[in-house]
Amino acid sequence: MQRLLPFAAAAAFTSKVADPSLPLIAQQLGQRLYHKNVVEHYERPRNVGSFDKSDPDVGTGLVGAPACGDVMKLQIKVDDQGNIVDARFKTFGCGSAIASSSVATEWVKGKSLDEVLQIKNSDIAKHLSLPPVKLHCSMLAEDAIKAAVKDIQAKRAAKA
Amino acid sequence: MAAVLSCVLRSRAPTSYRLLPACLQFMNENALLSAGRQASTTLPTNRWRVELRSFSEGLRIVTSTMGEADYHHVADETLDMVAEKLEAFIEDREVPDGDVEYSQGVLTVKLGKYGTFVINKQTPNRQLWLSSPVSGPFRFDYLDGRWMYNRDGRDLVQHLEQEIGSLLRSELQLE
Repeated sequence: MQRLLPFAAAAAFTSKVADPSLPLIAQQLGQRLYHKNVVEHYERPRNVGSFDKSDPDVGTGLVGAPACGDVMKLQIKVDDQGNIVDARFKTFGCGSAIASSSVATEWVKGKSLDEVLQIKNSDIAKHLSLPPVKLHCSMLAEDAIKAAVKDIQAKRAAKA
Repeated sequence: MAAVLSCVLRSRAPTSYRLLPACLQFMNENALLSAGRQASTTLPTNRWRVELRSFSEGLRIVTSTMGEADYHHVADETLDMVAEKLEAFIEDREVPDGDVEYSQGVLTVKLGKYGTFVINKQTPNRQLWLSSPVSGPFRFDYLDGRWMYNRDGRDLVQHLEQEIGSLLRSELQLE
């Protein structure tokens, strides 16, 4: 099994479809390994942390359910022009969920509130090469972004 | 917060619910209470389960009060039916590298080059989750005998019929 790991690693990094010339175990191993982008975000997550929830420039999106095994908290700091200047996340869940929310915080920085609403779960899933069962994680990340935007908009509306 | 935690830890809830303290620590208690409506420490265990389940479902709060036994009954019924029909369909149309696997509440439908559909039970939410290679992830709730996606009202079985049917350019009837 140890000898097969290099083949499996190569299979995982180079293709998502099992290469029939590899031994069967290596094919199956290759398909079950995480994509390198997911591993990167899991081992070196970007923007972990939190802002003060009561800060008027901070929008907080809290989505998921502990019973399902996934909870994401995504916070955005927005300037007066409606641009996101900073973002933080904390996620309780699987590697794919952590990577999805980490990617989400990277992608929202520097964008306006309208632009980030265009971020689709399919983009996140494609970037991380998520397998079918983990597409739900990327959807949750999209929901977290939308919830954070909704929160800041509600805060701004209340202030106005 | 301590009272809530001790209530959860003392409860006879399954282990998955006892993992709450770890995530409760980083979640603001107000958020938990507002999302879960009133999390009272005097509620019996299964009611507490229902409150927790009413977390933000997308951006809407959805609380299901379906009993677990009923849920398993209808979910298994639907998955059995879909599995059987799809297996016959794939064999019939001789889809290359086509395969249907159903075990432990997870139905995996491989359609070779067209991709893989996965439908699984999500018991805590009383939902069926679908992952489609064409249209992405969906969560279906059981309402009036049908599995419906709460954001646009689409029906699970019809959705599958349409997508798989159009992928394989052949009509699919699941019920």
